[in-house]
Amino acid sequence: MSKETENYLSLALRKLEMAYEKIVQSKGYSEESEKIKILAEFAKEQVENENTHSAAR
Amino acid sequence: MKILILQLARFGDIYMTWALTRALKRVYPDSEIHCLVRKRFSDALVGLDAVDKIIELPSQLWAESIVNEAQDDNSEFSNSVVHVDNFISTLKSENYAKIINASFSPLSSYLTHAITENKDEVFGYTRFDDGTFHCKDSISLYFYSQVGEERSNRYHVTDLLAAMVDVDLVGEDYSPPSQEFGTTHTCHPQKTILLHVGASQRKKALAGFQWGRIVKSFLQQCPEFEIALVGSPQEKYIAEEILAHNPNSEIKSYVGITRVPQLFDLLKNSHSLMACDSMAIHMADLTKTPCFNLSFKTVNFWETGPLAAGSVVYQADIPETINSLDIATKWAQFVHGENVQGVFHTQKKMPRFYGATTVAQDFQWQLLQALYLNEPFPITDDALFCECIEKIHQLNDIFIDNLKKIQKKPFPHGTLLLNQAENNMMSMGRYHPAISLLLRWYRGRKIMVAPAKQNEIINEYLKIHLEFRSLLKVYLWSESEELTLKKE
Repeated sequence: MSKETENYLSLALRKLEMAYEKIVQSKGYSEESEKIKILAEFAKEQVENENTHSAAR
Repeated sequence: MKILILQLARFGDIYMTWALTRALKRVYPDSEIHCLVRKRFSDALVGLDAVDKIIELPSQLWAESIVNEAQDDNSEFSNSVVHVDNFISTLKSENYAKIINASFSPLSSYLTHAITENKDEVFGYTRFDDGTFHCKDSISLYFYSQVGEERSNRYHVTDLLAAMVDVDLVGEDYSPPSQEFGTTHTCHPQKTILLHVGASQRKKALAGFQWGRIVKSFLQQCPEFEIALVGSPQEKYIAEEILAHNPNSEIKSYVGITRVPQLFDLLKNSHSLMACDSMAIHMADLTKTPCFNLSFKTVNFWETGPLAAGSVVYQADIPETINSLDIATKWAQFVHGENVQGVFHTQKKMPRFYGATTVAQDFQWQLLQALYLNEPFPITDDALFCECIEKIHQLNDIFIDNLKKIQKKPFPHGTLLLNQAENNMMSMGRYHPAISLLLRWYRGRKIMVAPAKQNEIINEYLKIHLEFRSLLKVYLWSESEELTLKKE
């Protein structure tokens, strides 16, 4: 993954986490916030260069 | 009946899921098994007949969408959410009877929760309805608490996965694909040794010059063998260095020119495999190719080591400090069928390896078995461990007193105080690995508590702390002295 892509994804991750907090604070945990959380966790793994948790973590 | 297996990790992890998938097909022959993987690693399912449908995580679509939407300062990621929603809806429409999350990652836990309709038939990591982490079964809780690098677990991941779903693995679950993958490279079962030059992570791999030295020394001791190098295109530079160190030797390099499934063809026709922690080991489990696994302290080989009969694990501290001559000599003994000393050997029963371990390591393993399998608690003369137990016992008693107070009369900042006490207790883990293990067991018990009203949670926590107290008493000096005096 190029440094540029990583920067874009890091920015996306920060904003996704902010969006998640905003929704949870106003409406609590819901299907809507869960989808944002899925995207945030996805971005986190992508930032780590698809270095997902291995079976033995 | 449709079954979904989520395996969002990498090649090696997917190959470790093969035996489970086959076992499920054997137990539920009429089932339709779907497997969710990342596109980048989906080649690892090629040849697995037990899978009826491969579903790929739309990584590229999601990544592009969130990156685009992140450019807008006030973005609410509405388009990206639609993509996720569509994906979840597609999975939900399959009406899976069982959902097996074999990934053990946060992303997979949220995804599992989002697609779950029948909560009774979910295995592995998921979420409670308030988003907090939830282990659906005791095995995934064990996984969460005790599996990983520098932990004392000695159960292999393939066995844990099968136990999680409550299926037994049999010999036929470990077999290679029936088809050939059309490689033109030639290997000789009596002569060729495959060497995987890379590893699943950099910290688990050797540098090219280190492999070069090992190979040189090995071929001097075993001139009757030839080496065939395998690896990804990104690992070509390692192969080049090995070749540069051994200009006149019989070494072939297939690095970067072999597709992942083609490795099966090479493994099936090779004498053995030499590899660090990598997918090749798990493919060799299926082709039943004996493996000399070069492992490091950064890997828990008990969990991911080679399972093919006759395999051995050579454990070094870190790649930087290896003794190349010693490795080459033991590797030579291994290929000559001699009894290799100072390594771990594969065995059929669990744990899947045997070899020399330290008293401290054995104590931790026995402690795990006592905590999770009701085996007797092991005896220890470790003073530091017993001192830590005393401290934790005191902290646990304070916890119990506070919980009882809150139970009678909730007071402001009660949760904050409890959190502080929890952090104090957990910090004791850094003083002793066995204490850390014990505290992870305790924390795991708390994770299992479902969201509820505060007084119900307090009641559940109280039960856990009381159970923890009775467990700590086994190692309390004061308690054992008292017992001795009573006996006298």
